[in-house]
Amino acid sequence: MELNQDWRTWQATVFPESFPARSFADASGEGSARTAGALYCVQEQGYVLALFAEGERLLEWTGASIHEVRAQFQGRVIFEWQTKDLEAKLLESLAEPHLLAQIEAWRETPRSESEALQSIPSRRRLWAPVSSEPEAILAPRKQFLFETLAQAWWSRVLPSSFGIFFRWEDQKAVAALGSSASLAPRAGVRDYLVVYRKGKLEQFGVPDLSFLGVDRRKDPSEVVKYLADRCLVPVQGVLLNEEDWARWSEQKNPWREIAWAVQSSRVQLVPFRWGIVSLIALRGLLGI
Amino acid sequence: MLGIQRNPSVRLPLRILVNYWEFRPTALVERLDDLMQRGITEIVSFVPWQGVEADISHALTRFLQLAAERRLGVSLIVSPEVGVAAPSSGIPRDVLAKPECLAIDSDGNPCVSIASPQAHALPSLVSPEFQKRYQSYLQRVDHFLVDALKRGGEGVGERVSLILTGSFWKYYRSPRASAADAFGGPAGEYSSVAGIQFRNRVEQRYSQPEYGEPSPSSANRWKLKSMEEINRRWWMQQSEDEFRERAAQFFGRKALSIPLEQMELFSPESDPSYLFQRVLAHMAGAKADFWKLSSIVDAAAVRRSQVMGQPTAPWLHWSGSGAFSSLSSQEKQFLILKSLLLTASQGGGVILDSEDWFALSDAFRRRAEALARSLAQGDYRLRQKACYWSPHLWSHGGGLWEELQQRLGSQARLMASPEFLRGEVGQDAGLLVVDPRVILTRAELVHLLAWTRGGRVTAIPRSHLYTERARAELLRVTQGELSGGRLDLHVGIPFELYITGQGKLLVYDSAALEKTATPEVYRQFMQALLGLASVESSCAMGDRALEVIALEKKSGGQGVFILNPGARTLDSDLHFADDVMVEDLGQQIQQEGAGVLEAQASSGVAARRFHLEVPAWGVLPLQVRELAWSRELSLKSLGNVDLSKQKDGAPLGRESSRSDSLWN
Repeated sequence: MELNQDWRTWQATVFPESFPARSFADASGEGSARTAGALYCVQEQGYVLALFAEGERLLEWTGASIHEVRAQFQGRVIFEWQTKDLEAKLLESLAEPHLLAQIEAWRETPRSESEALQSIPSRRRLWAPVSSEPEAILAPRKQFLFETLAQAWWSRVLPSSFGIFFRWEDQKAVAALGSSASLAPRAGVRDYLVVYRKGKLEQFGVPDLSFLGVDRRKDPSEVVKYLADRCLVPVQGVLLNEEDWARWSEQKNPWREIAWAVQSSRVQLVPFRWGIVSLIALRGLLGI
Repeated sequence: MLGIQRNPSVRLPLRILVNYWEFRPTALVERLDDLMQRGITEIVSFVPWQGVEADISHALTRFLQLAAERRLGVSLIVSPEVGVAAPSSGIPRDVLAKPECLAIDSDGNPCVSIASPQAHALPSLVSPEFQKRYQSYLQRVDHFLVDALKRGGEGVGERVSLILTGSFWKYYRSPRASAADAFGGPAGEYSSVAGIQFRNRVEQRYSQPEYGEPSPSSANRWKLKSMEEINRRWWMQQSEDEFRERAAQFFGRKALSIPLEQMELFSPESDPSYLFQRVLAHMAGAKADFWKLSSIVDAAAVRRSQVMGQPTAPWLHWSGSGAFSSLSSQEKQFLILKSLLLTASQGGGVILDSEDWFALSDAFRRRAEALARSLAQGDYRLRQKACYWSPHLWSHGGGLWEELQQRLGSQARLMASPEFLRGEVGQDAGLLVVDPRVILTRAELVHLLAWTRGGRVTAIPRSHLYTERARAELLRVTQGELSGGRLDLHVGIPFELYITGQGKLLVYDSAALEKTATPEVYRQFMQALLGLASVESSCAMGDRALEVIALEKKSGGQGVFILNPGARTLDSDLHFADDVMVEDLGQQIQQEGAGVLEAQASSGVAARRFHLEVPAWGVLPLQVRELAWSRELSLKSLGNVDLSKQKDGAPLGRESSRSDSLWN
């Protein structure tokens, strides 16, 4: 049984530090505290069915009136959903192929937001790297690459179906192996494949390269060719350092750094496509 | 190391999950080798239905062979389960594509489970279409096992066991109804297919002579609209019991030499009571709600199911790709220890993903393994002081049950059959409360009375839910042999008390209870019941934020575990009814787990009240010995003891620079 939607490795890959990485509630600073303060509430006829805020014990609020909650947490952003709306969206989302798409569908459920969201003083926005737009506060943990791929501009430029093959090298592990590294060529190396079809993320996980010989597996261009044939989509290979990826995944917009990394060959594209390089450069240098 | 069996007959209640179908052949070999090197001797794997049907490469057979070659014991969970980490938890897509195969909750919505890699609907286990497919799945599993035994020889057969679980039954609950209380509201399957089966079974049940007395038309009273809810609960329980029995009989008939184990496997992350919280956490891109998960563990651990009259062992599954994996290490450690204490002390255990387990620190794993080993050896046991008989195990128990659970915590037990009284539960418990919605037959009543005479207290409702024979039996007993010792009392509600043998039979007015259903009435009545049965909680914490799990120690005394499910250190008083001697237990557990036969008792202190300081996410183990002589010697001078001043160790759930120490 092939798992072509490997949620476990997805978590470790997209949020390498931890999933869902650091708790915003634990983060210090006003900007992050504002984000941490967001409350998420499912209500029915004015009464709370579920109240959630990361790292806070709010169980006792179940069954309380929504007015009580609003009064108690005045000044904090509260997203509210009606039970029937959320249930309807939940059932509708069952048709989606995986949890990521389902979560995106849930986020489209009609909701109301407390006034606190609009009243965030503009000076605070300078402190906070995160936008004060509702979508950004509702889902603050979008990963830079997958957020960019979902944007309309890129999706128009890129083919509707394509794959990205990542090969991360953990240089610490390779260094630790020292001279024996050549004996264990796969040590410190991690592969991952994501496939988009018709603009939607369809497949993600560690690719099965068992049909390739050991030597061919080491060659990224051979792997990319093999995966493109197997998945029937053009595949772009990206070779990079594990530490760089972890650092960039924690940033909102690391594209400038990535552009320089491509230029200095710290990030390698296989095959090297000028179109892709241009996209990265435009994103990194001009922000588009 | 985990899995090293000092006593081969003892199986550890902490098992590592390795789903064979998640690995490519080479990766599977690497993983098994790695586990073997880490000292693992036993692993568990789910057998996803879809995977088995599409297993043209005989991956299951190969997995069993590979495990046998490495002398790894393998337990295969063959029942369909939630949280399996396969698409739709391994349920075939075509089954879920048929609306007639989907389970519907009491709100009329399809039952949904959120388990990575995707949220999916749950199939109806009563649907004939499902049943047909399920039978062919079992056949296929059997085929693979026969094949594996043939190819692998005795090596495979010796190390494989099959696990049958309670499957989806407990998850047929409305997320709305269970939002506040994990098992709130009526559980059950409300699809139209289920409705037809329900009606048929109701007809079948009430066509039995006992329900048709005094005249055949009397049977109609059991089928009235007002009985719908009561009958539904009975039918759901019956259907579940039959489903499990059929699966057990299937593998029994096949007469494979493979041992069969019955588990009540529970996945808190996939529970409907956690559904909204999980949706919110996912939408927020945040980590899971630890407190909600912890509260679900409490609610599940006090329910005990059975298969063919035998209690099943409660097991908890923490998945490697669900809400659990998003928690911090401290939170994970807390939940693992709590789950172990609550389940392994009842013969169950915890199933953990191998990656999650090995990501935890060595020091913690050593402590948890020592605890697991002690529990597996039967050094500690959760004594069930009082039972509550409810018509359906997974539905809301009602106000009386809530009160009982609040007072006794993990020492109260909810069950759905009086059969339990024949076993360990019956021997332990001093009190049985029968839910007012239970339909009582004569045989059941006779059974209850016999149990009561052995020095217990039984509270039965005076309701219209007695068969004619049961009513006549109750009248015969209460107006005959027991009439001399009758007392009419009123504590919260009116009830009659009869002395029977060494026990007490209490007949309470269920109509009055329903009419005056206030928390105060429940409190008063339950206090009276517990008083009559001389059942009380072993100890209590002054701060209710701290949790207490009290286990009976084989060598005498109690093991009391104080749990702090919070990010702040809490200090509070621990109260006992009498003077007791309190000692450190952590070191002793480690010694017992390490095979030291007579662990050195540390010096303890005696008092009735102890001041404790429990660090964040900490689990503080204490040994408590009763001082029978304390009152005679008037040891009042012992007074209150401040244990928080004794700082020379670390509690189980916390990291410490001194792994062999006990207190923080």
